[in-house]
Amino acid sequence: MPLSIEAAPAAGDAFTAEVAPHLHLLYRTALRMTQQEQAAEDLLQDTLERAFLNFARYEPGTNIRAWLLRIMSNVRISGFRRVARRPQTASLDALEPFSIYGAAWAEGIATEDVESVVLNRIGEEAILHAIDRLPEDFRMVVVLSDVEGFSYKEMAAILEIPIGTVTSRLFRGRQQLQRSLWEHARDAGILAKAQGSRSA
Amino acid sequence: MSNAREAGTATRAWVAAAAPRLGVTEATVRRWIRSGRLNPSCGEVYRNVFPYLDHELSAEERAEVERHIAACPDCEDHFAFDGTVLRFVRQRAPRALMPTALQERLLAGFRGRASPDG
Repeated sequence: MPLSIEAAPAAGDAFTAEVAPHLHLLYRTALRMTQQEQAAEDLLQDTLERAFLNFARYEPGTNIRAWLLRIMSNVRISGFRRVARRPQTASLDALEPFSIYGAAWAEGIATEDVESVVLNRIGEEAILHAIDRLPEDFRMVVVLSDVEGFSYKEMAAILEIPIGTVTSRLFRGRQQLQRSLWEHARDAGILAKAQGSRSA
Repeated sequence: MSNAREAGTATRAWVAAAAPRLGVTEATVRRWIRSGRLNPSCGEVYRNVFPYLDHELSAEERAEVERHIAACPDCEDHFAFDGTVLRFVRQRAPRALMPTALQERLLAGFRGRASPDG
């Protein structure tokens, strides 16, 4: 039996009004998850479709950003199950601890110089590239926390993992982000400048 | 429990450096370590660096970090530096906007659609 448009004329309109303000957030997150424009668009499309189908269960006034992202995360995971090609998730042990603080000390660069010389020369694209190099589990907590500003509790709800797991992924994820930024600085000759600025 | 174990491992140098920073005697520093009031393990305290910087610690955990930092200049520097890197990433990470055409295309499919529940 065909659904009557007249029966609930506002469902689709109410849905678009509710989600429209959050599309940029969803788009950015899908891009970081999939790292491909087309895959991100597909993920976004599937996420919105599932959100629409479940929209009656969304309680107005509750955290719609977290609700939408939880759906996106689920769609992403069920996509892996379907095609059986979940990206390699790095085990915690595979990620060596790293800290720019320690690395700078080892290279003889003062922390003030790291701040004024090194960080200031790292551009937006390099930050994005460093984030994209993280394994997906770690990348997502870094993105949700440091790009989108979600709390640990919100991230636990979005990713459906315990807060302790959020904390440990964030610890390792940010350490690896520091490593990527530091390696970028070395490859781009920024570290050499910092070392030069100290002896000059 | 781990504090009691760590009390024995706090080096003399660490205690000696901590005492003047905390404005107490070395004997007091040792007593605080033994009673668990002061955790001398930099590694254990550093594990909380990000929850500390993110304001995600309980008041009690936060106080433990702050007491250690007050006693330990190296950790104070390290925590402050990680805070700097964190602020740098947060301020400078680009936040792309979705192209308007894509936005329109995605939403068009839902406008005027009836409730899936009928």
